[in-house]
Amino acid sequence: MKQDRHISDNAADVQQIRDNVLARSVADGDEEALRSVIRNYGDLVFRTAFKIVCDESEAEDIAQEVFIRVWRKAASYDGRRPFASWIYRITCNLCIDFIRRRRITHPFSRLELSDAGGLPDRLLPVEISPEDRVILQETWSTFIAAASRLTPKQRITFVLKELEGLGTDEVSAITGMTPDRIKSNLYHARKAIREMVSRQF
Amino acid sequence: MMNGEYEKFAGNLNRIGRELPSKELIEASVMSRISVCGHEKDVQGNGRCAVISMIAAAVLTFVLMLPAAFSGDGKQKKQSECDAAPMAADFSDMAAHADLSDSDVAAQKVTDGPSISHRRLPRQYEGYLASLQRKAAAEKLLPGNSCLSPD
Repeated sequence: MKQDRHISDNAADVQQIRDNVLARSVADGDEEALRSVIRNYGDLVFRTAFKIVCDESEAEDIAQEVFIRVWRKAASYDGRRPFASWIYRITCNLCIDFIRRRRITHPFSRLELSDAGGLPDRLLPVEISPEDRVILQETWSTFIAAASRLTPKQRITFVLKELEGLGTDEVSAITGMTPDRIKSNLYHARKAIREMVSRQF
Repeated sequence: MMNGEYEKFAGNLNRIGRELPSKELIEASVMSRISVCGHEKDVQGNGRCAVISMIAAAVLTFVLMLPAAFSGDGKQKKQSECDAAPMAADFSDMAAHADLSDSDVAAQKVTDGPSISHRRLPRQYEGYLASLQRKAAAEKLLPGNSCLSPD
């Protein structure tokens, strides 16, 4: 057990060193390094943004903006902290900006509208049974209905804690929220989702 | 809803949208954006500075215009007062502060035309002559400065 943790710590250290080198190269204007960042973190950025804004095309736009921002701000990255946390932070900030903008431009729109076309197949796992496909479609509809009742910060807390599996300290470092605020947001998010799930099934 | 069902729901949700579908497209788009405007941050930074400067200049201009547009009691001056004030100030200042010789003043009269020169300059010029005359008279009366010999 101890040995496993030691190996895991070592792997994290190696990853951290690799990310620091990558960030420094991006800061120096190395385009190939930026390509590596996109390849390594593209999925993370997209899946986080997609669950927060609940819109595929908007999540892609946000992903694009995240990497443009990484390119511009790589010099300001603090090498002592995980690179992934920095990426999460940029993603969450852009998602909040996007949600605020959407409220201004479409004040009466509801999240449910995004689900009008259903969940595209490309967002489902590659190998999936027809039954699973239906289950995941229903899961997505339920989530969208619940998410429309949550504030952006509640959604972010839910996504980072429950879906990405981050610890409270990490979420606090990413979002700037206190641990108590995180607990409160998570409580509201869970409650809304539970209510919505019990209503649908 | 049981805890297990919630976990199951979260697990299912986690299986959705795990991969960026058009990664190559996003990558190409990002690379083209950074190559087109490689120094985009500088451009945007300067742009921001320019906008802030413009706003600051507009606010400053507005603040500086306020005393000119409004009188002390807060009421706006009449248009006639606003029009007349600078002209009177200009010519009185010109005569009082500018170090003009007689020929300069004469030239000024010609170029300014009769309407302006007749109104303000002669009075100033007469005052100047009168002060010169008084100075000359005083010099004559002073004992050590007299041109006449004691004899």
